[in-house]
Amino acid sequence: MRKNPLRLYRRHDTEKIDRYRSRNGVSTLPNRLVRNGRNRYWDNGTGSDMRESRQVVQWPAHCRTVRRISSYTSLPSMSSPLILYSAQTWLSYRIAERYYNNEHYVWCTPAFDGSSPYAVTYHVPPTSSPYEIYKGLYEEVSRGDRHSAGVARNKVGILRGASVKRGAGVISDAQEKEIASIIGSAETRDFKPLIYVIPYHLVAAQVTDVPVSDRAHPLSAEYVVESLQRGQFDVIEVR
Amino acid sequence: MGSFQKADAQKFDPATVSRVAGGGIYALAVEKPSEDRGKYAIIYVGKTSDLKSRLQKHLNDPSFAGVTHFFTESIGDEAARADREKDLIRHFMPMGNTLADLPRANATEAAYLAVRALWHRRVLATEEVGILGIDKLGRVPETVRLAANNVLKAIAKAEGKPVEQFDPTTAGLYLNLLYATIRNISTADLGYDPSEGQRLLSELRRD
Repeated sequence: MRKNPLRLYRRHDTEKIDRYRSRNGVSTLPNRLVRNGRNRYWDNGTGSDMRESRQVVQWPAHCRTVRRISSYTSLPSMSSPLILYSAQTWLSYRIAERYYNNEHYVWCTPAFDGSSPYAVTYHVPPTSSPYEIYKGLYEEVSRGDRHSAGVARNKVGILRGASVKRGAGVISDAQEKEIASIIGSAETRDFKPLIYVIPYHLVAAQVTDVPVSDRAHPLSAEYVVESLQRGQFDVIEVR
Repeated sequence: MGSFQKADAQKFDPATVSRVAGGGIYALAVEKPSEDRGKYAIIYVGKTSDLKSRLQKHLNDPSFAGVTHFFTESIGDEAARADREKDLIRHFMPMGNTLADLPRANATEAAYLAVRALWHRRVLATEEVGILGIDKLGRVPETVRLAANNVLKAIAKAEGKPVEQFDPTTAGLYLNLLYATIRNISTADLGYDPSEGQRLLSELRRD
């Protein structure tokens, strides 16, 4: 039987995990260790049938850091996802369209809703989940919540984006001022959420794996596409 | 030294501000919502020889629209005012003062980092993200990292608990304050034209 090349590390040993990921093209790793006597299981986080999703790991008691597992049949090994999803707002979409030559800067994940039992085994924490972000924004915008946390976060993100684009010479000082003025005048309804659906194969060369220190969770599957062209994604608005 | 001697919060409205007189130091604050009503988040501390005129100026500045209350201390001597201002800034580390000391681009980046940490607070306990993670972001200038960390530390200190233990309402309050602060800085630096903003926004909505 082929020797398993996969090594698992303690959950917070993120540099090693990152190195493993980049070397082997593994997009994600199981995310939760479950104890049961001397046996330990890696829960893949999907909430699906645990007997199927758990990988038995026999660990000698003295071992602490690096573990070799006995088989890897149920571990995720997809080298690339099919689709990437990103929750954005109408205003950020329009600003990118108007000021950034229709190039969109997006954080995205390979699972629309990481908590869904039907999700592939990607770990996506709620604060990075496009579904959760969309849902939260939708509710806040529907209520007309003037103190929406999601809207405040998006405003800071748009201002920061404008600052970065100005620094890179994409827009002028005057255009940065225009964007700041637009944000200052925007109402809650201008931040209605949109979902970007991005076929991975169209952006594979542009995708940046987010460094561990920038992710919402060390093991979460998050990517950045800095210059997503309009022809590379579809936009969905669920009402 | 770290709190106001006259700790009475005053409403940030024209009638109340018109009753203030003399020189001194002041703090702009936002009253916390719901069950924390009566508690305040200090977002800016300043000094002036004319409290009434300075506060009226802030009152008429749309970028301070989120401020609900202010505190004052009358101090006639300029040197004493400067010392007292320093003490209070050191104690409260108001995000307005922390970020206003940076160039706009850096202040925006620091606010963005702090916002990310607040947004993802539930997973901050992990070692590589959030407040600790900010310390490890090699690509971010040190001044920006320090500012972001100071903002987060000040917020945690004001709430008396780590950021990762904030409930959504508290986190939302500070997310909004961070936006208001960065908007103030942008406004001061870039100039803010509400009518132009409305016009451009109408265009975007129409297209």
